Amino acid sequence: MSTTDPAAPVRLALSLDTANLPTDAAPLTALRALAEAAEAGGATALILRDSLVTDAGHGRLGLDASLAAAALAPLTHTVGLVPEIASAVAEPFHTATSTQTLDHASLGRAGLALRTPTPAELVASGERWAASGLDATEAALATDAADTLEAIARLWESWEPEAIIRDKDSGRFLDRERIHNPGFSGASFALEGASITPRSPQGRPPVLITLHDRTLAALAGQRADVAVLAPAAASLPDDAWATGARALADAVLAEAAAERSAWATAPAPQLWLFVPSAFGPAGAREALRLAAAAGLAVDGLLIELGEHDTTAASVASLLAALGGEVTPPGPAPSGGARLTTLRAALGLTPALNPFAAARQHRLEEAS
Amino acid sequence: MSTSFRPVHLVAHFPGVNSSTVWSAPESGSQIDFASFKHFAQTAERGLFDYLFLAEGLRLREQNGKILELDVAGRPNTLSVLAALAGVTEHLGLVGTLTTTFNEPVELARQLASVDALSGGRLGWNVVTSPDAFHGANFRRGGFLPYEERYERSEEFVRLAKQLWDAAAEGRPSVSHRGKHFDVEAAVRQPVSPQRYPVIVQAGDSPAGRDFASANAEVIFSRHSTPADGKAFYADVKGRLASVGRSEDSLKILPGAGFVLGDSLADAAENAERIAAQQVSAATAINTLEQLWGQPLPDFDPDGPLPSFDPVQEGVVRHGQVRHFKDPKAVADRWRSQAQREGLSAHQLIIKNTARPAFIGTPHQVALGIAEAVADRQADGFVLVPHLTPTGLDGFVDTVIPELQDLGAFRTDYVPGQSLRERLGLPADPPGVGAPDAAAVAAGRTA
Repeated sequence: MSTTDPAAPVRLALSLDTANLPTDAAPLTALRALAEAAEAGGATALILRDSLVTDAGHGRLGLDASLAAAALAPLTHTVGLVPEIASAVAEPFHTATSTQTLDHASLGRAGLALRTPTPAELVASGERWAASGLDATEAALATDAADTLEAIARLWESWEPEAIIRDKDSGRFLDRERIHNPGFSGASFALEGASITPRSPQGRPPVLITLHDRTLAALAGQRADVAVLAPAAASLPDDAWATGARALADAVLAEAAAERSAWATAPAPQLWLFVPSAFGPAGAREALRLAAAAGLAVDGLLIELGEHDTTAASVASLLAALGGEVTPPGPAPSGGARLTTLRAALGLTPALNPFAAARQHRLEEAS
Repeated sequence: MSTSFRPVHLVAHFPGVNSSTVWSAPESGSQIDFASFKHFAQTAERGLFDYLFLAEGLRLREQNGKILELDVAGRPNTLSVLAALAGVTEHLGLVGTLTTTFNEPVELARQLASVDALSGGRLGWNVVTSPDAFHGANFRRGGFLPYEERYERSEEFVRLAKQLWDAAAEGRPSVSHRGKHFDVEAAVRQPVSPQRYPVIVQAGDSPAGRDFASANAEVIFSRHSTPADGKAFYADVKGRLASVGRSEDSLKILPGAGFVLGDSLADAAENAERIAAQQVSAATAINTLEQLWGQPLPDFDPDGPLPSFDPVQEGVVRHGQVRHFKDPKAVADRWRSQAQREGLSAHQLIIKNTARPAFIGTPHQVALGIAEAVADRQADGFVLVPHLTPTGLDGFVDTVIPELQDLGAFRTDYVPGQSLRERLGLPADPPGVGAPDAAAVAAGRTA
């Protein structure tokens, strides 16, 4: 593993529990102020953490993350919008179309942060998981999460980019040959038909998976575009924390080397460090230094906003304090949006539709 | 003008995925790009509409196992579009169709509360059921729900959702519910819905659907837009309300209706013919005949006569859309004699028999038609369905709305901060968790 120069800037994203928004303004006003501060400070993405039900660590008033992200889509211009969704208690079909719609509405800035559900979420979710007839073991939930991402990727790519033809001569709006049913069948669910939503600007919005331990290392190694390393942490990063992060990184990279989904565009996930709010800006800097000393090449920092740090002013001062550690924001918007997809902002190569690529290949062979 | 009109309620229906939406005209735009939704919503808001309405897509339509190619197809996720519209509109109500079959109450209740909170109390929910294996194949549980239990699950779903909204409003930490369809324990994590409950809309037309609506809904999106039909439906549904202690004004009836404008009645009628021809391409005409005749008609010439042989029953299976050919042989006989009598080719006949919009005329005539239908209690207003995305409402807003205002039949401004429920003139206390249910309506009706 290469050693990064701790002085080199890395990308930075913010992580926010939707239950922790300031309550002294209307929800959308508070959310928008925060997102605008994140954009102005050069954050690559905003990760909206969420849960179906509340637990000890969460406030009570949490907005649904995917809808909070959708509301921000037309009101922001550069920041990636990444809602967190729990697998097994969500419908892969709804998750696929909501992410596609977020991508359409944000002109290519959607992402998806997937995690497995808590026991309380399983109890609250009705029959979705129970219908599988499976026990909710760690292994079964991890398989379901992998199947969820596989089904979702097939849905995202089920429409070729040129499926809408509007051909007046034949009277056809669609070319059905360019729409491909996923026909997915896994241990806990099956999914037959194509997405209802045409292919979105990014095609496959980046998938982010956070690792607290090795439970999801295989899932992240095989399927994540971004693996967020979140080892157990005290109030400040120390050598044990760095060793933990390094161990998670090694596990993810070993899994990626052993097996990598055909949907992934890079041979391994990017590695980002989760920086708990307790670390503060100085701790974030120290975390980067310790990670480098542990031989861990890091692509970005995901900074957690604390319960009381979600105002625009707090976000602005946090990002200002991190100054040199953050990639400078892109060129200032000139006359409107800076049209950068989240994939591009992360440095991921564009996702190509495999069916369209095969069609192109056949055409070239024939000519 | 001596007539005193009742206030008209207007809904802007984003053009749908069927042959009435024209995609071949030069001005036809994307049905997916958010810019289209933004234009449509902001136009509706400029026209002071009550709300915008979005349908829901769960699977692409198929015929004989193949995806239908002839109509506009593909939609974004309904909830996500409504949430995105919350920030680019200020007053307009936002209503979407969401099935109770392939959603779960704890998730959907907090999603709806989220959009209601993000929009400052402007949300409505069109409650539908979709209990069939074709749609079920896209979801974890498959086609799990028996058709006859569809409204039973719906009613339990809506009432459980109301328990969750109540809990959030009253600061109760958890909800537990054990019923036939749901067994749920949830520590509530959702914003307080500014309207307490989003406005409940319903569109089912069967006796069971009408009972469900009379017990639970605050708006019915009906299909009865002709005067006699509308009046009968209006009287029937409003007549069910007393038995469950609801007032007549607690349930608004808003039929879907198209419109075509022109400089004169003749000009508008001509425009309507032109639009009908755009809606029914030669390929769409053949497809319609294939459905009626129950078989593929591969070499059929649409510019010639109708097929001379008789239809077969149930030979063409279309999924994802309700069709209405109850007696194909009788319809075929009727169409053949009409074509012969009027000298029409097959294509011309299908164009001619395509339903014309409810309102055709000058802006003044259309405004008067709408205001009189509401005054006559055929409806409380209309769900207007333009034939073009995204500009299909522009002309109506520019020319018909001022006429309606001149008649004194439509608002001249929004009341700032008004909730959707207030705008619709609905009582502040919609049916609650313990309100009489659909079975009570049915009992009251048959007693």
